[in-house]
Amino acid sequence: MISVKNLVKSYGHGKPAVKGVTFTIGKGEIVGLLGPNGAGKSTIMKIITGFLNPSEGEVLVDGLNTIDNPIEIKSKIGYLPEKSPMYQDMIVYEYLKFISEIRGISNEKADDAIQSMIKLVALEKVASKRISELSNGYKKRVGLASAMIHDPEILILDEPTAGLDPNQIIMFRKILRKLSEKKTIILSTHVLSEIEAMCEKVIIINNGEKVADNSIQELMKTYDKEQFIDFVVEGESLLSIEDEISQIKGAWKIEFEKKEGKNQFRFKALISEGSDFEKNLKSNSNNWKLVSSEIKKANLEEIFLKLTSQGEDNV
Amino acid sequence: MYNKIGPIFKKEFSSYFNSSIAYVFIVLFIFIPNLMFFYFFGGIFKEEMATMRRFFQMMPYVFIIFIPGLTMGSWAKEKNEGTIEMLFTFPISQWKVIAGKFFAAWALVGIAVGSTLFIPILTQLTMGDFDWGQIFTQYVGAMLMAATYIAITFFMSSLTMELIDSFLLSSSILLLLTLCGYITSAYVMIFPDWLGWLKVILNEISLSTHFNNFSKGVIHTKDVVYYLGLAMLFFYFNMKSLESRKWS
Repeated sequence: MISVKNLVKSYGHGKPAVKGVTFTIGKGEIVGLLGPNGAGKSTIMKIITGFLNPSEGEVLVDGLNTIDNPIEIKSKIGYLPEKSPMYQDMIVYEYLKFISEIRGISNEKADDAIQSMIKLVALEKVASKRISELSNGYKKRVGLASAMIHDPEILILDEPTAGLDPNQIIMFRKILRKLSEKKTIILSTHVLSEIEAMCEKVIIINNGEKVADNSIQELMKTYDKEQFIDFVVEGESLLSIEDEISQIKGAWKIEFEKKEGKNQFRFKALISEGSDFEKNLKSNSNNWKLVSSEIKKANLEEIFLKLTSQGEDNV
Repeated sequence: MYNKIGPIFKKEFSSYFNSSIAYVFIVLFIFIPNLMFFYFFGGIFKEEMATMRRFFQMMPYVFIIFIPGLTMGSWAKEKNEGTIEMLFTFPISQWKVIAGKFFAAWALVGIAVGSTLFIPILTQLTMGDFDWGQIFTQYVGAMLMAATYIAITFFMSSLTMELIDSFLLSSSILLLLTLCGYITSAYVMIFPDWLGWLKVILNEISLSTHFNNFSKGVIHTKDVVYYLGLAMLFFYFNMKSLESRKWS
């Protein structure tokens, strides 16, 4: 359904934001586009929706090229940009009416379409309010309603839960799960639990390049030799401990997790099987001492950290 | 065609009224030119003739402030607030979006300009013998000129992100294009014979010179072609500037 081929996008004369990304997404799949902030996820989405043109490569939607057939492709897609921009001076109902008109929904059907969207994302209480008066959560819901009002085959959601509180996130996921039965959905996020909760497949982007493109199960299988050491150290100053621990060889990435009681600090070090990091850790205490350490099997979070920490490792 | 331009027109037109901009625009438009017309210039009473020529002669200068004030947000606001991302992911051609916005601004100017019709009506009742043919030509000329001003300011707005930048850039360009005709008539002495070509060029590109015939009540094809041609040229520039955003 969506085929992205050797996609390159440069802004001005700077470094490309997307560097030769290729992937395909089948009909009815829910795909998570995962990556750190600034990895190029939004740029890829903007190219698929036809808002930007690629510098090189192409995007095909149902065999149609986004540059040659923008109108046909745009009618198949519902898009929620990252900041869900909207005309703030409009009333919610009036805004949805405007979207339905511009999406070519006939006058007779528009009212039904608007009502069913209002019901789906629970906008009943705010339908006659001005958008500028709404909370972030409601604005996102209006954004989602406007992206779906024409019942698109493809839904592209850029960071749909950013800025929402936990209750709103749960509600949002419920709505998406309901939609996922009959739509192809691409959602971008840098929150892993989002992907685990929602997606069948994950495409990980780092520094404008694709670093993984698998189902979550396959991804876990591919990286089943990855491990992490969960360890607690005791010492006076976190800064000096962090500084010394970061010098220890054998880990992909070392992260401070949290403070554990007085002068105890929990860290996480990402390693591959057979790494001698634990040995180095035990023999390497200066201003601190190791309280406990345990090797654990990597889960999606550690795999993501490994895939997106290129150039930061100290193996 | 309507089903795509229509919603944009409707949204833009009502958004002028959702904020105070339309009301301020219409009230000031009626108030300021009339004040200038009746008091500062002596206007109709001084001339003791039923004519609105002086009133319309001010129009190119009044538009320099009013039209950029109205259109400064046309693109700058869309870019600043990110709504351009919504607008250009809708299945609608770029030119239709520009056309919808253009007609909305033009209609509002039409209402403001049309609201000054009470002057000739009042004058007809009190002084009599108004040349309605001339009045018609003056209003047609004002609307043609407004179309060109709107097209120019839309393009300028598409080059900026901030409303104030859009306003300043637009009114500066309009001021230059308007004054270059005034200079040629007011300062004839600064154009020696050998600079005659420059005088002709400045005259021909000036937004105000082409309005002179309309304000006298005469329609010249040359002036109509000038305003429509310039409006279309800037409409095209506007399209190109928005298109370049996709490739940048």
